[in-house]
Amino acid sequence: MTVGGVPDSGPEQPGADAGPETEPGTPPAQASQRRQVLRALLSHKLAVFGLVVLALLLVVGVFGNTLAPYGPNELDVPNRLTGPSAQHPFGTDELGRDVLSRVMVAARLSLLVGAVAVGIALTLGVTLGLVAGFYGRWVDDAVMRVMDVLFAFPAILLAIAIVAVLGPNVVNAMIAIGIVYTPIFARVTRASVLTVREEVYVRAARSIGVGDLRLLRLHILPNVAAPIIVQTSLSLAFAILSETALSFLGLGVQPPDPSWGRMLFEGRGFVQQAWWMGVFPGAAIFLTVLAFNVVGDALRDALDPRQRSAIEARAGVSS
Amino acid sequence: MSAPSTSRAAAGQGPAEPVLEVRDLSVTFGTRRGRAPVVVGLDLTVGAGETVAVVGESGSGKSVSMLAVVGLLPTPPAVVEGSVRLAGEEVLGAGAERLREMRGREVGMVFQDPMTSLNPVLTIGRQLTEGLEERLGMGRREARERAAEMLDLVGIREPQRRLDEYPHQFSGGMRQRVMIALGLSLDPKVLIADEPTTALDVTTQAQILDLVQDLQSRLGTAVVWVSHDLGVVAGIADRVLVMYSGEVVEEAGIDALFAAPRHPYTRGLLGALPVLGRARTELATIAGLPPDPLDRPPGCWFRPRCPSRLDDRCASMHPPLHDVAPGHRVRSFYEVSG
Amino acid sequence: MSALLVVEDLRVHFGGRRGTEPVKAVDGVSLTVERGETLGLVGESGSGKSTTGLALLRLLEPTSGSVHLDGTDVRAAGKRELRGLRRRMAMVFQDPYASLNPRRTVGASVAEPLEVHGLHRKDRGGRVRELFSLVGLPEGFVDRHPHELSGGQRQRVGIARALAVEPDLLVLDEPIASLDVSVQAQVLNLLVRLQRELHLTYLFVAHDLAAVQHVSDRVAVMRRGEIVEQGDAAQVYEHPEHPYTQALLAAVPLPDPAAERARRAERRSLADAVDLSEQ
Repeated sequence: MTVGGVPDSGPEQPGADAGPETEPGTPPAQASQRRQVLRALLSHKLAVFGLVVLALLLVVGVFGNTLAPYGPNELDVPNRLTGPSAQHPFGTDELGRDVLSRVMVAARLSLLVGAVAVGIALTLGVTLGLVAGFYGRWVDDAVMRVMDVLFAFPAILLAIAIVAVLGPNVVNAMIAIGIVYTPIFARVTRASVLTVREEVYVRAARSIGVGDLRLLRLHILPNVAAPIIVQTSLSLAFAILSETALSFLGLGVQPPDPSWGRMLFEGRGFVQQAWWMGVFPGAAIFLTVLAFNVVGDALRDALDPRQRSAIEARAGVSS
Repeated sequence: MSAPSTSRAAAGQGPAEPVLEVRDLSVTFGTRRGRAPVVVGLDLTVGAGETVAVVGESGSGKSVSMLAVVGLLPTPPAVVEGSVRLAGEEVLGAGAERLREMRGREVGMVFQDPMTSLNPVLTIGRQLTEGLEERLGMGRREARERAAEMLDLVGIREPQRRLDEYPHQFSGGMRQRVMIALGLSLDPKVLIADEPTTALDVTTQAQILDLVQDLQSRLGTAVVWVSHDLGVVAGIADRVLVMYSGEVVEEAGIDALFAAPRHPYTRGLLGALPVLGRARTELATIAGLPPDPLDRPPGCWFRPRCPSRLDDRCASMHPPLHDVAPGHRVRSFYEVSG
Repeated sequence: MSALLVVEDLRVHFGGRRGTEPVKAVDGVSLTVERGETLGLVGESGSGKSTTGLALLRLLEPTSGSVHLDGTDVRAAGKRELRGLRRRMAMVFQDPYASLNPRRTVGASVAEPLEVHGLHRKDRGGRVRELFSLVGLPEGFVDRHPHELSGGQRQRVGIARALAVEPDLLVLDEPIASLDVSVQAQVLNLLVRLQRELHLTYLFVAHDLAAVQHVSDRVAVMRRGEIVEQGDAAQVYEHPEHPYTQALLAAVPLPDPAAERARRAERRSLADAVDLSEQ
C-alpha cells in the first residue's frame, strides 16, 4: 500500500522500472509549444511558400536601398520605356527610372506602412477588446458601438476620409489605416476574452487573490493570443493593400518616393507601350498579399489543432 | 414487442448460441510516434439474455473495443483485427451497408452523453419513428404508436405528449431513457451500453440500472455494460471482464469476482473504493499510472504497479489468461488468494 | 466559539430581471464548520452545493445572508480585506485540467499565490518545491505544463496551489470526480494526510456519498438549494431521517452483488415515497 501515491526510489517500489522521479506511465514531457507550432506550420507546403516570400520581402525591405541596382529616382532618359532587359530586368518607366529598383525600394515603404498601421490597430484594438470583453456591460456596449460605427464604413473610404482630414502623407496614411483596422482586432480579442473569462483557471486565479490587471496580463491575454496572431497576419495583407490604394489616389506615399500603388497609377497611361510599368508592381502587391494571407491561414491551422488536441487531452480520450 | 421476446427468452433456456462472440480483437492506432496497440487480444462471449460488464479505467481500451465491435471506429487511423460475430455473422470486414443494417437491429447502442447523442433539432418522436419507419417499414401512425409504447416502457410519463418535444426539454436522466428506448427500438439481440450512467446523478443512475434490468428480463436482450465503476456493475452483471492497458486481466462471474478477486489489479480497484459503512481506514491505492500504449514494459504490463510480484517470470514473460476456477480466468503467473 | 466558518441563511439567486422568475440556486443555507474538522456537503446536480462553495469565497456574489470566517464578515469585506481573506480560505476545483492556466508551467501556477501576496520573497522556488514534495509530486515537474501531467498529478498541483499561502479553510469542490478510481483513492488519502499534518479545515463538496463519508466528520445534505439534513457523519449515514437522504443512500451502488440485488426492492419503495420525478 502506498500513501500519497507517488513511489519514490524507496522501499515501496523495489527495483521499479520507472525512474525515481516519474510515476510509470506519466505522459512524456513534450516539445515546447512553440516548436510544435513551428513544426505544424512548416508541414504546410503553401505556408512554406508564403514564408519564403515574406522572408524575401523582409530582406528587400530592410536592405532594399543597398540591393537595388539603381537609385529609385535615377534618370536614364535615353533608355526610357524600354522593356525587360539585362540591364533593367523589370524595364524602365517614362522617365527612364529602373522599375526593379523602384519596386524594391517601394517594398520597404509598403512594409513599413503596413507594419506601423497594423501596430497601431493591434495596440488600440486589443486593448479595447480586452476592456470590453472583460468588464462587459456598459463598457462593452460603449466600446463596441463605436467599433461598429467604424466597421460600417468601407475600409478604403474611411481611410481616404481620415487622410483627407489629416493631410496626404505617409504618416497620416499609417494612422488612417491603423484606425480602419482597429475594430477587427477589438472584435476578435473581445470574442476570445468572453470565452476565456469564463474558464475555470480564471476563477481559480481569482480565488487566490489575483487582481484584475494581473488577471488580464498573465491569464487572459496569453490565452487569447492565437486568434490575434492570425488576425495580425491577415490584417497586414489588407493594410498593405490599403496603402496601395491610398498611394494610387495620391493620398499615401508622396512622389518622388516610389510606392507600388503610385507605380500602378503611373503605369495606367502606358499599358500598351510599357506593360512592365504596371505589371511588376502589381505582381509584387499580389504576391505579398497572397503570402500574408496564406501564412495567416496556416498559422490558424497550426495554432488550432494544438488547441484541439489539448481539448482532447482535457476531455480524457476515453478508451 | 411480445413475439420476439418470448421466443428469445425461450431460446435462452437451452444451450444458446452466443449473440456476440469476439475473438482475439486487436485495435491499433497509427500515431505520429508510432503504432499504438490500444486493444490487444480481447475475447468476449455474450449469451442470449446475459449481462456482461466490461470494467476498466482510462487507457484500458474498454470503449475503443466496443466501438470496434460495432464498426464505428474510423479505419484509418485505427486498424482492427480479429473476429467479431454478431448472432453468428462476422462483423469485421463486412461492408458499410451491412454494418448499417446490423446496427439497431442486431445490436443497439447507448452512449455516455445523452446530450450529444440526440439530435437537438428533431423531436424525440421523430428520432424514434425514423428508425422504425425506415428499418422496419412501418407506416407513420404505426411507428408513432410503437414509439409511444417504447417511451412508456422506459418509464417516461405522458408518452404521447412527449413525443412532440425536443431533447432540450428533457432532463439528463430522461434523455438517457430515450437513448435506451432508441437502442432497444429495433429489438436487437444485444445492447451495448458505454458508461450510460456516468454523467447522471446517483438516484437517476439507480433508476436507469433498475430499468435496464427490468427491460432485460422482459425482452430477453443481452447487455454489455461498459463502466469504470465496479459498484455500478455489481448490481446488474452476470459476468465481469476487467481490462487493463488494452487486455483482459480477469474474467469471472459477478459473485466470484467480488468475493475472491485473483488479479492484483482487480484487488487494487476493489480496495480503492470508499464504501458506505466501511471504517474510515486509509484506502488501498494502486501507485502510478497505466503504461503508454507505445511504451509498455517487457513482461507483465501491470508489473510496475503491482504490489505483489511473487513470480520471477513477471519481468520477462507476458502472462497468458488461464483458468483458476470454472468460469474464472486470470492473467497472472501466480494467484493472489485469500 | 471555535467555529472557523459560520454561514447563516445564505441565498444566491440568479436572474430575476424583467419579471422572470429568479433561479434560486442557494436558498437559505446555514452551516458551521469547526476548526480542524471536515464538513461534507453532499447533493446531486442542481442541489446548489457547488454554488454554495463558490459563494463562500465570493467567487460568486451571494444575494443575501452572512458568511463569517473566524469572526470576519466575508460579505462586507472591501477589496483589500477580501484579498487578505483569500489567504485564509482557498479552493480546490473539480476539473484539474481546466483549473490550471494551460500557458503557464505548473510551477508558476503554484507560485502565483506567493507572488500575489508577496510571500517568501527570498526563496519562492524553494517554497514551490516544498509544496510539490508535500503533495507527492517530483520536483522536476515544476517546469512542466498542465497537458504534460496526468489527471491525478494535475489535481495535486491544484492542491499545492491552494496550500501555498497556508490557508485555514480549504473548500474542495468535487476534487476527485474527474479522476480514475485508483487515482481517486490516492488523492483522498493525500487529503486526509494533509489535513492531519497541516491542521486544515475542509469543506468537502461532492456528490459521491461514499467518498464524502470517508473523509467527513459531519455531513450536510443539500437538495434544490436547501439543506435537508445535517449532522454527525456516522449518524446521518447510518440513521438518515429525511426521506431524500434515505433515497440518496439507497441509490449508492455497493460493490457487493448480493447486497445490490437485495436493495433493488428497497429502492423501488423509497422512490415512491420521495418524488424523484424529473430524473
